[in-house]
Order: sequence, then C-alpha cells, then structure tokens
Amino acid sequence: MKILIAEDEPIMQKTIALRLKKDGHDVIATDNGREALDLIATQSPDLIITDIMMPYASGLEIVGSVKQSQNQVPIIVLSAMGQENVVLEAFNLGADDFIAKPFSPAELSMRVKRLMAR
Amino acid sequence: MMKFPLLHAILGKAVISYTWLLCTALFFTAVVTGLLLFALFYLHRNGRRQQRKAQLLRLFSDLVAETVICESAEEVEQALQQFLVTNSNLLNEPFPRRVLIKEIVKTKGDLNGSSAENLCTLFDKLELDKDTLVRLQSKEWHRKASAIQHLAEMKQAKHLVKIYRETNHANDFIRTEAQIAVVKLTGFQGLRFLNVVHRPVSQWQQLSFISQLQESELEEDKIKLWLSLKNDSVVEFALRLITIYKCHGLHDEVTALLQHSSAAIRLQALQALKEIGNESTSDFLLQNFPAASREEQLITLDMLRETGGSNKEMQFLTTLLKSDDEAIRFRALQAMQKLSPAWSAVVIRRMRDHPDFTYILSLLEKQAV
Repeated sequence: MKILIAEDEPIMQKTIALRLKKDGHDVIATDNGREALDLIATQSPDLIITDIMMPYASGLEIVGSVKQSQNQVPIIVLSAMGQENVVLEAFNLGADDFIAKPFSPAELSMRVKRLMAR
Repeated sequence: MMKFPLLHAILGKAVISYTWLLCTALFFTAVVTGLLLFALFYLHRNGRRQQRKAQLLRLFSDLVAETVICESAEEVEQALQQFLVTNSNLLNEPFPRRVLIKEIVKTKGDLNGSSAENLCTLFDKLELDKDTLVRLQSKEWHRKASAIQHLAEMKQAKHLVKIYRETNHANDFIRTEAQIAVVKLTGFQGLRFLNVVHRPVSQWQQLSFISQLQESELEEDKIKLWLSLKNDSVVEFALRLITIYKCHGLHDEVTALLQHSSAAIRLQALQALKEIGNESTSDFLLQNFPAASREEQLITLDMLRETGGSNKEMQFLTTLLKSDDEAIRFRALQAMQKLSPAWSAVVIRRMRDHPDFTYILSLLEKQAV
C-alpha cells in the first residue's frame, strides 16, 4: 500500500514513515501542504495521513480538496489535543479518522490497518 | 594678533575645532568599523551555529525516530549502539547534547505510550540528565526553568529533591515549572510543597496540578490542612480538589470557609458545597446569607432551589420576596416554585397585582412555557 504522510515536523514525519515502512507499506512524505496536493495528484496514494498545521496548505485544505475531487482515498488527520472545532471541521470535510497528539505510532499503525481493511 | 583679539579667538577656536573634529571622526569611524566587524563575526558565528544545528538535527532525527518505534529497551539500546558506531564522538560535546535533549523532549510531547517511554530510556542511556542538571544550576531563569521542565518530561524522579528546592523560588517561571514538575513526577504526594509555599498558586497552575492527579491518590487529611493555611490560593486549590473529587468528609471545614475574608474562597466554598452538600448545608447557607455578597446570595439561592424544601427554607425564601433586589426576589420565587409549587402558587396569587412582581412573574411564566 502506498501511504502519503504530510507532516512538517521532521522527526514526527520520520517516525511515522519508519513505523509504516516496518508494517510493509510504501511511504511518500512531504513537509508542506502544497506539495502534498501535488503528490496526491501524481502518485495516487492509497491512504493519506496529514497534520492539520502545515505550511502553504493546511490539513483541512488537503481534506477538502481531496474529497471535492471525488477522490475516495481514506484520510487520517493528525491534530493537537483540544482542537475540537478543527476535528469536527475535518470530519465535516470528509476525513475518515482522526488522531490527537500526543499519540502512539503503534495506535496509528492499527488505525491504518483498519482503514485499509475497510 | 593682539590687534585682532576677536580673529585670534575665532581662528584659535577653529584650529582646536578642526583637531577635535578629526579626532571625533576617527573615533566614530573606529567604533563603526568595530561594530561592523562584530556584527559580521556574530552573523558568521551564528550562521555556522545554525548550520551545525541543522546538520545535528538531521542526524538526531534518525536516532529519535528509530528509538520511538522500538518495541523494547533492548531495541532502544541497539538503535543507540548503531548510531554511536558512526557518531561516537558527537555526543561528547555539550552543544550536540543540548540539541538532542531539546529534540527528545519536543518529540516526547507529541507521543504517548511505549514510544514516549523509549525516549525516556534513550535520555537515561545517554545520561542526558547530567547536562540538564548543569542547566538547573544556571543563574538565568529561563535555563533553569527549561531544565526543570526537561527533567519532569523525562521522568527523572531521581532528581526530585533538586527540583523540589525550587518550588518556592522567587521567580514565577522557575517556581511554576518546579511545582508542576513535582506533581508530574510524584502525583498527589508532590503537592506537599503547598504546606509551605507562601506565594500565590495561579489558576492555571491549579488546573495543571488537577490534570496530573489521580483520584485514588487523594488524602483528605492533607486537603484539610491546606484549608487552614494562610495562602489564599492554596485554600482555593484545596476547595477545587474537594469540588472535583467530592470530599464529603470535609463538609464542615468547607462551610466554615463561607465566612472567609477572601471573596474568591467564599465563592469556591459555595461551589464545593454544591457537590458535597448534606442535610445540614442549608442551615449554614441560611445563617451565612445576610453577610454574603450579592453574587454569593444568588448562588446560595440556586443551591437552595436544588437542595432545600423544608418549612424553614420556604419561610426564608418568602422573606426574601421583600428584598429590594429584583434578582434576589426572582431567584427566591424561582426556588420556591421548584421546591413547593403549592406554596409558591399561594405566594404568587398574593402578589400578582403588586408592581414589584409584574416583571418577575412574567419572566417565570415565560420560563414555564
């Protein structure tokens, strides 16, 4: 499975990528929203994991743009705890799942598996 | 020259002025050149430092990411050894160690579970606490405060004594970090600094402590002691704990605080009584009512509406209908209506035509609709 990680925090991006590679997935990663949108168009990932706070285009913009283009790729949104409005907005736009930071990469891995199975 | 004293004076002065001007110009040129050189040197050094930092971050991000996804302490050790094969000397210098500490702490903030534990293990294995303790000794408050924060984040309970010493520090930031750190590290037991702290504990700190506590750890004896202290913020915090954890055993101590000189404490005591009230609470509330502030009186009436109902309380509420304060009259009537619709029906019938009650009764009718 090809997974796109859009996360501007280098260590977090590497951590998620390593974890998913360990699970046998192909990973493409970017640290900005605009590039993420380009990668979605050119690489057609099977799943997207995106942080909310991203330069150039936010996680919400990514979710909105993907879902508007009728792309059914599942999206997991990463966000800081306590951003209730943002989470609701993400679900409203069509996000499939949400993980609040602080989070466990093992939990993220399980959620990826669950979404892939769906 | 004596024939032209004025000219002498002018020329003489002018000669002195030229020399003076030249010296001044030279001086300022030297100063500006010095400043420029310093700025260039500073920028160059800063640039190199940033470059080095970026290089280190790239290196450390691999180590940290590898560590985070490890599934056991042995795997963490392996990841570290692998890193040290190529970077063995790197961690002997203070600057890279400082950069690594910051990265570990920052990353841990985004993680929980075993991944977060792994970062604590890495911190221990590299003995980064030693560097943090050096910062703890710093005279600069921001270094000291960040060192405390790092020790707490990395669960360095072995340095608790050193952190504890700072819980009454004169600097707000250091004291706050230290207090939060001891609670983070030892839970309710860590709150023993409240016994001696004489500086205010802010609302934000109080909420931070509460977020760290587990209900099972609570000890009513200690809370009881805090209720009797002179530090108002500690009393307020103790009342918060009583409110949240419903410490029924401290009911009488809380009612005694309804007469405290601090308005914030009296209000918090009322909030606590809302949660731990018993059959004797309303007696205390009625006794206290005349001396209470308007805000307290309104809260008291809301409380009576929920818990009252005895004849004595109904009589009391009826007397309040004579109050000059419309809000008091309204709340009293509202409470009566809730507690005894029959009683309030009689009262309402009596005062229906009284102009003081026209607005209140219309409000009550609207509410009923």
